[in-house]
Amino acid sequence: MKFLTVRQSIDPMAVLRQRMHEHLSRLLDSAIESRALDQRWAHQFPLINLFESADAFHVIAEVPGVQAEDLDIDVSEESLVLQCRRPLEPGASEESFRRQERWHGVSRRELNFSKRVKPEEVSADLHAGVLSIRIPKAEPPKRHRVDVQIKTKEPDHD
Amino acid sequence: MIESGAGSAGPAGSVEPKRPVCQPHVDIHESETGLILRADLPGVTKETLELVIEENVLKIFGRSTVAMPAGTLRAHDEFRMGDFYRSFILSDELDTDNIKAELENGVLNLRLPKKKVRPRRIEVE
Repeated sequence: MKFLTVRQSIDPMAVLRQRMHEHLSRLLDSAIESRALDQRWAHQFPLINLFESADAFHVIAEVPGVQAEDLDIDVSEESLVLQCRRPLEPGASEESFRRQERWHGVSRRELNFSKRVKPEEVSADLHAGVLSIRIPKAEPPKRHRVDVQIKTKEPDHD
Repeated sequence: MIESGAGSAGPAGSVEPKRPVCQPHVDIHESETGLILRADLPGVTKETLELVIEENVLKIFGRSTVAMPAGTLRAHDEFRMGDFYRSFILSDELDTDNIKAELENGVLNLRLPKKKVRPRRIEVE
């Protein structure tokens, strides 16, 4: 009997809403999304993802159409500055555009690392418009054990 | 050229479930001889790019070869690491038999020439 009361308490509108929700999430699953994960990144170039392993940081930046000579990577102990340039293709003028979504210009992006890195051991690779940078982490400063003698000050003998 | 609706993504069966499909940024230029379409497809190579013209719809599907480095955790995320898909409806004035495509440094360059209009004489019977 209790079972029946539970069934009766189900709101038909709630069932419909649930079905609609399932249908919508299925549609959204196959929807075409924007590349940027967030509006904050929608107008940035390049888009950067940062990964961390035990011994290094890995940067993946999408730089389609950018030549290696138009990329400048500057790594310090705490941060990475990535500058890049993507000029307008020759022959393209403002009036010839029917649609313009691709970014052109000069950009500067900066990333701060949560741990100190070794700038002298950075390696980078550019393939199919994707820049991959590996930045090894600096070893944590070694703790030296030193026996410290504590001197007690002798009272002054006048 | 009109962008066609977002519809279903890519050729059936070629998209793994849960892999995001993103819309690439596209520029379209018009010249006297035709259109030039450029699409940003970072991580897509010749082998992973599929261009299809069906009826008057141009479909661009690019599979990104970029993967999360092994043994790492995400520390900062700005973009979806997924594939690309976009479709356009081509106008009748374009010569779809003579489209030329190039892919360089993750940028697709499509040349879509306009049909050459030759005056035709119609004989009167």
